[in-house]
Amino acid sequence: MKVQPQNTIVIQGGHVFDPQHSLDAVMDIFIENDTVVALGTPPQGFIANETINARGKMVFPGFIDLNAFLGEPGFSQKGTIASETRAAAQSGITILCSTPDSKPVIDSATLAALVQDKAQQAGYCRVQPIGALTAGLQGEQLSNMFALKDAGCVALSNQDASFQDSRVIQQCYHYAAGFDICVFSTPLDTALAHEGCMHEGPTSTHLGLAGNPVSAEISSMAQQLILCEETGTKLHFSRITSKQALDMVISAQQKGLAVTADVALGNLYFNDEDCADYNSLMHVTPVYRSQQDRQALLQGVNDGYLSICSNHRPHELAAKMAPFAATDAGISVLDSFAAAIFNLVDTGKLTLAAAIGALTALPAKAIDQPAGQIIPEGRADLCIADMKQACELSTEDLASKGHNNPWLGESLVGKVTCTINGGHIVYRA
Amino acid sequence: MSLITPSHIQLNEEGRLKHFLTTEGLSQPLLTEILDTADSFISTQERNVKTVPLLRGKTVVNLFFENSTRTRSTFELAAKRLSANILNLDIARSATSKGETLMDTLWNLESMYSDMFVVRHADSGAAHFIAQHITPNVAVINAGDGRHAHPTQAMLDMLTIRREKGPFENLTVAIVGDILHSRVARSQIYALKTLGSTDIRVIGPNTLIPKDIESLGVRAYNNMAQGLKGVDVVIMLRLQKERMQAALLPSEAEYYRLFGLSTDKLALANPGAIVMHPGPINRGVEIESAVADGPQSVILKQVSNGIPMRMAVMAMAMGGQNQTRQEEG
Repeated sequence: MKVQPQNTIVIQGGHVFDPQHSLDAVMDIFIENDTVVALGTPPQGFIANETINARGKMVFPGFIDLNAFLGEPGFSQKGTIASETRAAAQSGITILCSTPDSKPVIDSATLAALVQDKAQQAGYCRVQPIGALTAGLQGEQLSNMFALKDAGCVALSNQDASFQDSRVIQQCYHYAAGFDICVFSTPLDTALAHEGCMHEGPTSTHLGLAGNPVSAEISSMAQQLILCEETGTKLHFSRITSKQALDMVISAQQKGLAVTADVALGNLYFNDEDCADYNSLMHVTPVYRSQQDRQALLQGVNDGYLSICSNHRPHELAAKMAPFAATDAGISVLDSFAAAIFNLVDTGKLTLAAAIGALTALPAKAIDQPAGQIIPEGRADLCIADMKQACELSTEDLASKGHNNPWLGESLVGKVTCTINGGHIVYRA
Repeated sequence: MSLITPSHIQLNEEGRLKHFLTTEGLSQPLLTEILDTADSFISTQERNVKTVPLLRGKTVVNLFFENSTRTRSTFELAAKRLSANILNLDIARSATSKGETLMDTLWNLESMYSDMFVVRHADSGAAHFIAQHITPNVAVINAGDGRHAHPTQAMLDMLTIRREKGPFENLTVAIVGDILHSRVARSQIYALKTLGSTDIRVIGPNTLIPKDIESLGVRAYNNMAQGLKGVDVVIMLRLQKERMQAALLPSEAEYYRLFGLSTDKLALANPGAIVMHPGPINRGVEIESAVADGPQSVILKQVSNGIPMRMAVMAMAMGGQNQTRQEEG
């Protein structure tokens, strides 16, 4: 006798879209427990406990965000795992890679496990931590890299902290390569960046703000590519900002190096000129560069070279209430992540296939996870969206604790209406 | 997203000054009016009774987050000569909680019903930030914010140039020295451009000239002799000693050799060219004593013009605030 599954869902009439598997048609999706059991035709004897009407809507694989700061542990005034993953679920994210720069730093298996447990308790999306590459992110000693991987860290990174010297970078990469650990790196030569709080160019000169030159990014990148080639480590450049950096990623891939990259959503939207009124929301790390860089990065997504991450940095109000350079860097993104990307599609800046690829197949490859896809017997991580619905977020709509969201009050076209995480409906508009 | 420049918020709906944050974005008539107003105060300075009652009953707070004796004193004198009450606050800048300190300070001062803040702060955009977040009806005068702007200094320099050399249209002006860190230079460039100068030059080593400076409408020179050729006004900038330690310059000696204003170098400028300096001067570092004290130097006239210029912008900004207040009332 067949045991009736406890949880069965049918998503009816949605336009299923997963470019990786050439899915681009209206069809039903059948879910049992945490698994997609069939596409198109129901399995024999399937009885749905729950029917989701997706007519006129798109159904995508659940999105993967490769870089989000959740606030917890240590910065609960900025965000908690529960509040920020709830915001993520509203943007169709089912896997979120949290950054290691909490307090304490995620440099032990216990802390990596704690973050995942808290996310599981909250139940909105899976959090797969990025562990610290060096102990305490001090850039001096290797962290317990294998233990971190074993505890569920999908990658290790020194985030925005610098290394004591280049030998430490080399040794981290060398060690990581031996255990097939993926390294995430945001390339920045901190000496060249000096005190720069925005892109060095006409606007920084005009505002009298210290500039961060493109050379600070690409000279660090050049060094890391040399070390990547030498050590054979799997290297993911996180949040690249310039056309030159993109060109270096492309040529490294053509050379056959195991190099991938992503761009923060903000860098696809804003450029250095948006800092012109000292708007502290435009104070971010890494910085927004020129209009030409922004165009090149959009092209990089359209050409399939770049994932899109949120680079989510929620802050309390006081952190942004100061003169530009004295404010905490970063914007709160997760509440608007999907809508802002859909809006880039709606306005013709990104193709739908490229945008979805940049949120699913590409980031899944970067963290080497069987995710970001809709396949029979695959995990039921899905996102349903109305691509024509205009939405305008106000402060009351925010799930994130961070109200430092530059899209507040902006009208965006495209909205997630339902998110399913492992067969559970975690968000419904 | 529309581009809003910092200049936007300093005007009221009538286009009158209600804060004075930057010379950028102000119209030629408005800059000329500031100069004319300052000119009219020069005559009151020569009288026995130097005060005028324009700010009677008003409270002006000198809010200095960065040390300054000279600028603060001239603002204090200017406020007194406008019959205002003046409160001097020197606030040591806390490195750990800068943002909160600033907001907390402002909220405290707001509770004291001040009418005007004169602000100096080490962060670019600080005066702009304060103007945005302060109670309406309080005028903010920028007395220097980071590397961004020092508009009263620039305008007293414009006053000096106009009084000494006449109209701006045919004047060639060179600004020499540390352009990168200079809020004075930025404010001068915007004012000169608006007032009609078409040949503005900056002269210095590449390490002290900010990237894309040409976007401000000036020409950059590394060679002092070329840069000074045919110039009517030479503005020397103060060189901070700490620049020697930051891998920006080799030595004072080499700097003086290349960019120090000596009698020989000044001879390359037009005959009758004037020499200016916002002070305090470093004799033998950026300027030779014989030049600083020589017949072409107008450095002390700049100092004298500081008070009427500050009186002018304080009176005008308060006027713009009163206008706004009456309309709202």
